[in-house]
Amino acid sequence: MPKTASPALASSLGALPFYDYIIVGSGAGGSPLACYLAAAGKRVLLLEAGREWQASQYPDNEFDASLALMWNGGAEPSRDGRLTFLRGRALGGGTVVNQCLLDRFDDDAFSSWAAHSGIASFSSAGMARHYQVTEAHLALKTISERDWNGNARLYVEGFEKLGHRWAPLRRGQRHCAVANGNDCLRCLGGCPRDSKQSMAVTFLPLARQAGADIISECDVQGVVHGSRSVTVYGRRRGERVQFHAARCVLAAGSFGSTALMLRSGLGDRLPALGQGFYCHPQFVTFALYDQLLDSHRGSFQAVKSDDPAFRAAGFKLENVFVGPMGAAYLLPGFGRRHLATMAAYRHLACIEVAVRDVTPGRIGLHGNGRLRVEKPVGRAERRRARAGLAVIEQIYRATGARRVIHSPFNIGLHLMGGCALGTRKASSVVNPEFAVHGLPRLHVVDGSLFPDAPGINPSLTIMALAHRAAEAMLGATVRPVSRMPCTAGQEVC
Amino acid sequence: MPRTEFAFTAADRRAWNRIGDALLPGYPQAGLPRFSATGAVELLPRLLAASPPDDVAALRIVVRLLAWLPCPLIRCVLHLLRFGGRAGGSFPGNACRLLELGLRGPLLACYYAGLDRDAEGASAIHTAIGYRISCDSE
Ligand SMILES: Cc1cc2nc3c(=O)[nH]c(=O)nc-3n(C[C@H](O)[C@H](O)[C@H](O)COP(=O)(O)OP(=O)(O)OC[C@H]3O[C@@H](n4cnc5c(N)ncnc54)[C@H](O)[C@@H]3O)c2cc1C
Repeated sequence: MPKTASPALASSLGALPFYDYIIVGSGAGGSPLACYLAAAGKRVLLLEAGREWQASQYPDNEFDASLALMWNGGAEPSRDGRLTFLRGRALGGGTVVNQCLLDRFDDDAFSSWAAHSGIASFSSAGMARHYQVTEAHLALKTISERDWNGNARLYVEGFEKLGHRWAPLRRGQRHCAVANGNDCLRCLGGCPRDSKQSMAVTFLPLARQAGADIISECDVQGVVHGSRSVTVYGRRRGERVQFHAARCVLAAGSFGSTALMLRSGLGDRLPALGQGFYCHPQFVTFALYDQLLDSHRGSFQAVKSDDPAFRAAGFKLENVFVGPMGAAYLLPGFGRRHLATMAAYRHLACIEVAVRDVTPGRIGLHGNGRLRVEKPVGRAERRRARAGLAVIEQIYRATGARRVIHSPFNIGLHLMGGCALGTRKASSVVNPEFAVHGLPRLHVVDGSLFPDAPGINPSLTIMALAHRAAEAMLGATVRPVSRMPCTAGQEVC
Repeated sequence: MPRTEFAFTAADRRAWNRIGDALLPGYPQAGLPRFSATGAVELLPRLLAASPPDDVAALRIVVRLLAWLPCPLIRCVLHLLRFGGRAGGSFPGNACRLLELGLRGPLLACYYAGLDRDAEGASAIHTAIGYRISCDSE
């Protein structure tokens, strides 16, 4: 039987019940976990700093989308300014603003995880069931050639001329209808068709249906771990709020969960807290062509590199594009030359190198409590980037580019690590049962768990880890949760 | 949460417009106006309100100081930041990169936001670069 949302929630936040689980953060980790725990009959409260959006309300432009759906208005630089990080702040977390490319990890990624974490069950076979259950909740489509734009065509032409392997991308989407003129670039600011498989259209409605209470616009500031319960405190629309539960799960993302633990004074007892931060640094390269490419139209990401040599060399090449704000930011320089390049926006192609980074960064706090992220781009990353950039140059030359333009600005979208999973307290924060070492009532389930950088899109695996965590917490097998049919008079079901 | 109140004075507006014009002097051949002619500066308070207050306070001082310089000198400083940022990870390199991000980021964002919309909802800047996307809600 699904539990109905607490009536107390609607009327007053002061009179909320004692929960079995409070989950902080509603992204790729928090939402599936809320769904599984609530469906198993647990009393669940999901807290999210960002606001809840309906598909029809998402901003229709890059500027407002950045301000409304991202932390810090869109961009957070690393301490040395070499990298700029982007992270979502909305009910649904990063999955509302991401591109929803959903890949399973390969054996190479898992064997590296097993070695770093000491958890032998990290393997493709060991994770297969968690992926299967996760994928049962998602509509997954392989982008077909019919939906390619000019940028994708050039990418494939270049790969084929040079003899590199490529593959179509698999994306979480239901009915984008690109052939009818829809442009998926728009849904980096929230998908107005509810087609992209963000948490807002997949696990969150199921969590609600199963009776989870959800409070958005609630910025959690700290957690107090007691012997019998956990208290979570923060601010909601300017008011102080406090919630109590038997257990708390941090799912606030790599930055959010790490910062919350540090702000809760746990840094001294957890030596690995904040260590081992990775982000798949991206090195963007544009090229100018005589012909119109309209790289921003339709499925603006359609294909990917699938070359074992690239994987072995620690990089992949992304067929990607950005809106005018993003392009202007990434293109080097300023003045008339910059304006002239922007004037040729429809003639621009773009490919980026996403590097599997090995030099760990560190997430910490400034004296005033503000986040401080140190992320060196080390020699290994530079070597990997150079190898990828050389291939991109060849692709552009082979396909007749007039000018190749390397961006001096690097970005990080896959924020991973900070609360690594592992068996040893000296090198990890969270144990194989997803509880923080020495704090049995505090758990972490999000991208901060990653022991290293997989070199593969992370969000499907974060969702799969949430399934694995739910089984560890419930001590039982967790099956897919199905959507209940609507009954007469129900507005949302 | 982004702060809703942000004191953005006429002096701030003038200063940002001056630096904006050095960065985006216009490209009439393609129908791209200079920064100050677009009214994009009016978007800055919202953007700055979403940024950490200590960053905004520091940036405000830099912008006000820079705006005293003649335009060619402002461009020189922007070039210096650009090349200084390519230097190593030491203090001047870090400061140049962060300052370059702090100046370029907001100005380019406001200019290319496409919120200079006419009665039909079209942005002159987006029209000039040929940017238009659509996505039907159903
Ligand atoms: C532009 C972009 C494109 C991307 N494309 C892809 C892609 O194609 N494929 C892919 O696999 N990955 C992609 N990613 C990355 C992916 O979205 C993230 O890796 C994933 O969402 C991380 O999941 P998470 O659960 O760790 O954190 P998140 O999804 O970031 O969720 C954390 C949530 O916690 C909330 N939170 C944080 N702090 C607090 C607090 N103190 N109180 C309350 N709530 C808090 C945040 O607001 C957020 O909603 C992309 C990311 C971006 C930015």
